[in-house]
Amino acid sequence: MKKIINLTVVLTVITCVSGLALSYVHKITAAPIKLTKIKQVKAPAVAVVFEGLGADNDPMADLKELPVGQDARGRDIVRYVFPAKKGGQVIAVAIEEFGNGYHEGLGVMTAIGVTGEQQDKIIKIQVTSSAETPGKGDRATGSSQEGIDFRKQFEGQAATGKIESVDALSGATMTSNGMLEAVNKALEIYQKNKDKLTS
Amino acid sequence: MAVFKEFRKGFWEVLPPFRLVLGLCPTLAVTVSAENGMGMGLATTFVLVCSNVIVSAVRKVIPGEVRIAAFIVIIASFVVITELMMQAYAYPLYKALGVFIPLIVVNCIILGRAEAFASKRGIADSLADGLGIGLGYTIALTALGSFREILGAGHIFGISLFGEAFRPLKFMVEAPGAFVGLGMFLAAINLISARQGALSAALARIFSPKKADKKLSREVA
Repeated sequence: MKKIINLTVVLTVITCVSGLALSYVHKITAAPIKLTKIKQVKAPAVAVVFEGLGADNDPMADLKELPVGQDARGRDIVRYVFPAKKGGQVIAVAIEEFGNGYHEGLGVMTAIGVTGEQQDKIIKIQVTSSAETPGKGDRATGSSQEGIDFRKQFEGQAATGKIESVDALSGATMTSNGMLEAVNKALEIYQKNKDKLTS
Repeated sequence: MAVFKEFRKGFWEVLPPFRLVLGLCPTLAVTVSAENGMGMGLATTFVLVCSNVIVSAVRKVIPGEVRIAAFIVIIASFVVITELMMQAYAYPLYKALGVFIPLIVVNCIILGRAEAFASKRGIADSLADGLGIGLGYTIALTALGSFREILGAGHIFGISLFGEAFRPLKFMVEAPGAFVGLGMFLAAINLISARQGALSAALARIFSPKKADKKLSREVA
């Protein structure tokens, strides 16, 4: 009996100590890990939508977090905004938002111009995450086999209001509408937080 | 000097994975490039040194019946710490090594050193042992990774060596190339060891012929 108690106590102490140590390490690394992952995952999409703008900053380093509401459990929903700067001035912002296509969680990165010719206009959009059916809805997220790039419809549209409708790609109507939903959400964030984003 | 001896042995006498043939799974899997090999080696070194020190420090309070369980908890904790740290500060390397980081938990080298060495020896010796074997493992993986990267991709640490004209032997960076590369290294190391024995025997015969003859006759007998 004494032996069993001894074994139990020793193992319990060891596991408790390692549990404590791990929770401490988790606490210090949680924030950097989150940031690193966002940067790794979003960087390619941001690079695509800002292509040719001549930005001289690192949008990943300058990213801003915006609380956009709360989910069912009362936790803040945060959206990330990546600014493109030239000579220290913000020339464009990229906002990622999500819509519902045929599946949930259709992520779209929307780049909106802040100054110059493309002021308050959508520059380009890029799909960041999609679970749409390959060969069907999927075709709207990139250039389709028929050579139609659905994303091009958004380019140059005004960012001051809501985009009412787009010509959905046939066979990919739900995906097209999901992308429209995501873009409209991004436009809403842009309009609400314009002062904060462009400073 | 005893401590230094414990440190030094990891670089030749029990150099893993060539002399101490343990930890082969990550060796075969991650050595597609010098950088991956080095990253894996350093991660293993960190875990090995920390677990050796802790195991050695608590060796007197751990009852024999639960020692393996206790060692695994200690090792696993350090592996998770390594994993979190790599995710936070070395994400591309973490991605490249993938599942082999969590699998350090079951790396025989680490449990082997905890069981065979750290659970019986003092903290200083265990630290030296872990550091020596870990760094030896790092050098070995880096060497094997370099070998495969040079032949299989024509560059080392991502720096191109031969220019455009070089046609890489793609085979070397794929799975079978790992076995071939490891086999070549083992053969080379065995060859050197064999020659080393012959060399020292020859030297001994020159300097003290009688002793060497005696030894030889004993061996023959």
